[in-house]
Amino acid sequence: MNAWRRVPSRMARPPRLLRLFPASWRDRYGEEVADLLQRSPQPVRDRIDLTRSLPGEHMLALAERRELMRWLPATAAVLVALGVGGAFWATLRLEDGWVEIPGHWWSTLAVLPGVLGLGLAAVAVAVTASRTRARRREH
Amino acid sequence: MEFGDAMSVLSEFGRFSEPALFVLISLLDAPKHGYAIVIDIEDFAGRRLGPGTLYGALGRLERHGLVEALAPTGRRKPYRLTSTGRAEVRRALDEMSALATYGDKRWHGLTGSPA
Repeated sequence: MNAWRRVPSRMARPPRLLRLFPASWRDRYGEEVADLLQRSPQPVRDRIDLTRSLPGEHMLALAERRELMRWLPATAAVLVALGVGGAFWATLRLEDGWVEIPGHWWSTLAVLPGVLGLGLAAVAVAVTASRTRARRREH
Repeated sequence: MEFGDAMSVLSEFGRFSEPALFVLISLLDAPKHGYAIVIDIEDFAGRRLGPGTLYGALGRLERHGLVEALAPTGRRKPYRLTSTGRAEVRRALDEMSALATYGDKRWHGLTGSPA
């Protein structure tokens, strides 16, 4: 049995959740998704499904921004260098060396840029891999 | 034939690979909008795609030129298969069929039972 609700399409309003999606995605699919959500027999499940797809859509949107790769690798490298420097500085001040870093707020703070840098580097690698695959397909 | 060749484009879609194949199969007979695709897939595959999964798959299919959007009717946009998309469905179905045949042979080899 079809449990989908018959809702006039004019009643469909964009749910707040859609605001979290990239603008390009919202422009392309926002109205249709709002329409589907309005009719859904399982709105909670569908909102969870939408939330699950959120990181992937942002990754795709990032991969399409050409200017991104101008600053992303450099920023990642600077942050990693700061984190390595911070770890070195903290290690000199800790009795048991680097293993003690997570045990103090100040030493944890010192290596935090490095962690952020590694995260950005992972994003840069994922974006580059995605673009390389796209280029291979075009050829 | 090596299994995995025909699914090469769809396999890049990660968790959207299987939903994307369902969408392609759904669009084989006629263009459909999102709501109609969900209902159709629910009918033939017994799976209800959530909107994130459906539009995640549709977006990737559009980017790879396997489906294309038609002029909207009201708030809904119908999608149709491109010739590349049609060829991709054929390849995927052929591979699944070959895989099923191969698996069946091994199954009977293991159990010794006739088909």
